[in-house]
Amino acid sequence: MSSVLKKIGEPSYTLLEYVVLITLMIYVLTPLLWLLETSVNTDPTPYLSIPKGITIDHFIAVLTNRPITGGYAAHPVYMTRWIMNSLIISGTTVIIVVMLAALSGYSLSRLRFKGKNLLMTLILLSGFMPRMAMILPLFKLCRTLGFVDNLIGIAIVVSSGTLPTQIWILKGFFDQLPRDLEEQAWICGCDRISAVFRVILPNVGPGLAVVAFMSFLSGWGAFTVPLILIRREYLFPISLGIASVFIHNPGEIGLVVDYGPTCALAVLYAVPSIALYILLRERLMEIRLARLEVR
Amino acid sequence: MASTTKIIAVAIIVIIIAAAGYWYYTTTQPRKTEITLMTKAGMWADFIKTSGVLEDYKERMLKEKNVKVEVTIITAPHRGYGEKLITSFAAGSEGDVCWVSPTDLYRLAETEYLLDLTPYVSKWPDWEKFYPAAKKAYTIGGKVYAVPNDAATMVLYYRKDLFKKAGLPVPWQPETWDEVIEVALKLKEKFPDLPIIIEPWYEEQLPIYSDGGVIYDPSDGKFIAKSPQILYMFKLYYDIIYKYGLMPKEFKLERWDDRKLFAEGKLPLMIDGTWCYTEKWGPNGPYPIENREEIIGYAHPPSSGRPNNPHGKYPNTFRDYTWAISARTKEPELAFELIKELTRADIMAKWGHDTSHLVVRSDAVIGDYAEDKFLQWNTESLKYAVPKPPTILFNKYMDALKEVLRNELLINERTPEECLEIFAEKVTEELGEDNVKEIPIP
Amino acid sequence: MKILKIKAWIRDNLDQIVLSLLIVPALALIFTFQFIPAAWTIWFSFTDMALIGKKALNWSFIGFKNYLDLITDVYFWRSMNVTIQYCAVSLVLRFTIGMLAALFMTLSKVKGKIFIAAVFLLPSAIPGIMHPYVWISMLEPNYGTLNTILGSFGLPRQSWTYGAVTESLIMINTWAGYTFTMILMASAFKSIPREYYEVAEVYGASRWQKFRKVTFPLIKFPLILCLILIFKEDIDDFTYAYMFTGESPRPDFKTELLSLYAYHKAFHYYELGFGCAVGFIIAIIVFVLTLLQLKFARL
Repeated sequence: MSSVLKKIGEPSYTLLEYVVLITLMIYVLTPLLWLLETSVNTDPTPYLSIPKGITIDHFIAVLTNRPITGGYAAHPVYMTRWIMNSLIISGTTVIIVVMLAALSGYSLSRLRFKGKNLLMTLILLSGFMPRMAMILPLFKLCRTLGFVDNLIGIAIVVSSGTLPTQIWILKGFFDQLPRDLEEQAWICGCDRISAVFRVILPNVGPGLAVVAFMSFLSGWGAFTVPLILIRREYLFPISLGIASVFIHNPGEIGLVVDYGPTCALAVLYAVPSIALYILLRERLMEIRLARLEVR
Repeated sequence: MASTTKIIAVAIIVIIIAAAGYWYYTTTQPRKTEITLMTKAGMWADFIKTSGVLEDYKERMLKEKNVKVEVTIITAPHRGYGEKLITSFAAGSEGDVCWVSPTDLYRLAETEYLLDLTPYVSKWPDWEKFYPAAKKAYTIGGKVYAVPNDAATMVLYYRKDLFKKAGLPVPWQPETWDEVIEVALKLKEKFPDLPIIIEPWYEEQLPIYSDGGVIYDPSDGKFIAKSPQILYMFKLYYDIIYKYGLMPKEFKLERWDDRKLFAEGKLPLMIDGTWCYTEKWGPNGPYPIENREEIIGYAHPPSSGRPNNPHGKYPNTFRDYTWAISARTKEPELAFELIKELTRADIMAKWGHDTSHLVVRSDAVIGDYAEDKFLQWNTESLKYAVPKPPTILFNKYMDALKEVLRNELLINERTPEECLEIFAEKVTEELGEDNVKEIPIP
Repeated sequence: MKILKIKAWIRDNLDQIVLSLLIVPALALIFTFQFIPAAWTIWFSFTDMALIGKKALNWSFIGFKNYLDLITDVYFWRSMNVTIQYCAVSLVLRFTIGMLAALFMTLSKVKGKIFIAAVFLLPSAIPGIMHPYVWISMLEPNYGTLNTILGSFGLPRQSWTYGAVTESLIMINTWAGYTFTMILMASAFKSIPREYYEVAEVYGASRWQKFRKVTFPLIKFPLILCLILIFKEDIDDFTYAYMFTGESPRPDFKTELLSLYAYHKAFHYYELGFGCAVGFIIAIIVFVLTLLQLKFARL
């Protein structure tokens, strides 16, 4: 695949490639050096420093729910519980978003009617008001629906926030698919719905992967929605958990933080997202290519 | 016939006995109820959970009021707590007892979302033991709306080791700001390489109090837009920055990490809050200093030297957090009993010691808190603390002050007199002419 | 008679009806949790409501007063100025850098691409709540990594948190946000059926022609989409501006994006109505720009 694209699309300047790679790497990694260094440093500090000694103690502290000293006296944490909550929220979000975005993205791609652009724009803009101003109405609404202290409820609200973007993305992928693909399926006796599941969806693998990944990220990193909807500490997702254990004031330097475990937790936090991306990249894209080859 | 009467009689007796039994059962059996407590997640909520205060409370309620009470803690992280609190109040789902910051408190009291605690505190003998400054700050229009939990004042921290090297006396307690500048100049002479000698402000309005002024006149409810004391504040900052060159202006504009500079001995003099001593420089802080007692010197912020300062010898400001009760609570009595428990002297002392905050009642200097030399010394400053004006316009007033200091004094390098004029204009515009007054400058 | 007609119509348009029904669940969800609260806040913008305080109970309908105040508000225009700069530069940078990364990930033959992909993803994979810590350790004037690096090369230190604070903001936003373009464009490149190129090759198309006729039409939609979504996110989100600002606006207003201004108005000055009016203005800007972009792109 890449070799074909390469032959066609771009000159093969290997040197240029390396320059791009190294520049990007420097830009991405320089800020993170501190994070990585601090998560293994025996003597963590708020600034980048050469570690006095290497330790994995901070990771163990996080994974065993060891009480954290946040500048003051040690207090208990519920890391594993928070990670579970986050997994529930983002898992549900992925399921809801992938399903609904696939259906409506396909529908919007194939339907032709006046005012489609307007509808699309309205969908995209649905979450346009500043989120902080929206929290009061949202809270009242969710309380009526019983979504307070309810992880699934939170996943539903988070999904509604990320759906517009994902519908747009998937619509783009459906638009790219040649129409004769589904027409062939109809000729073979499929109806519209089964054509979608048998032929169309398998062919937008990369699109589904993107949508799944992005909705996972939005569930995993959700902050504002759980902030107002969750009232019990044991139901916190990890984003709220980090914010409550590691205190800081915006704009203030020299924070009240146990830096070692904080950074270890941040590193652990990154693992599911990256693992998911690699998994999706490897699996979904392969499936799609195989299908095309058969055809 | 007789048997019917008998049956009826038996039935009546049975009913009476059952009723009596039921009555007895319901009156002696503890009533069951629930109280919700809203506080910050993390160390705040954990302190309440681990200090055993809730168990004591439940036990006491069962004994004194025959009520079996369940306490549910509602939490939100430090970042986002304010938004959550405000939203909860606006939506009517706040806790019965809430941890409230002063600025939100004034707004909430104005809406009468908060319960007027005056009848409760008047029956509470311990209320007398709370420091007047703390009490005054939460009395709005003669009504008490909150019970303070802790406080922090401003401390003039200095490096004892640098002082000794410069041949200056230690311990040191300056009486006037002029003395501070004099010492700073000596330090500058001795250590010309230090990037900065003194950080004069954490809370900008402090020198106004040092000179015996106020920013708010409670007698007519007006803010002060112009006064000799405000001019004094601008002058003091101007002199420190430009006349004597004791603080590069980039320090404030770029928000240098002053606590680290101090810990490394690159900043010999600074004003900062009580909490810094343990939170930043303690063994668990980000910039631990070994032998804090030997390295860190502390003094009260001095006055301007003007005689008869109404705020006392060492005028100070303070910031704090409070407990308040929602006006919609179904159990006001029980909620107030919970506040009583939470602000118990020994609990307050433990919280103060653990988090490096001052206790706000005079009988709470006990236990570990009393053994902490710094805290014990710092508690005295509460006597000089000037309460913040209990009104919502305070936010706007302070924003105007910060804006003038930053834009006019630091960026445009204007003279104190010019700053004063601009400030007066700005405050009048922002707060409205009816809410400000000017005190003529002699 | 009528019923029969309807039946016939349904039979004729069954396919279209089934298609339109597919969109209903998503629309219902978006309508309930996004439109209703948003409409509610638009209503707020025509009142003088506050979340708490006197105006929370005794609010009144004041028509367009908030909007008139807004037009004459100096701070609003300053904030608009900052926002335009920030959004324009962010858009270019987030797109270019993301595009470079996407090209790299699809085209390059460098070994260990999975590892590289993982590194490229890191900014969006670490918790958002950690970004302030990470960047303060970078930008602090005396101890920050950037100034230390500059110093070790003998270059003068820069004022990242004051003089160049808007630039710093853009740098952080690009750093945290380029991954969006990268993910989207990488998958767009991947989903181009390679048969198309084979056909083009048969016809002897040049490299440029192949790009013009095959690649570009197929990535046009994701490309426009990317630009629209980046713009929407930048104008909406104030996480990084907040981290340099805090509870009240900075006096120099260099970090006061419109969205942050709306937030400060609603939560610091307790003027919810005014904050919502600012929010609605943002929404209108996004709406108009999106429609224009769609129109010009002929999608």
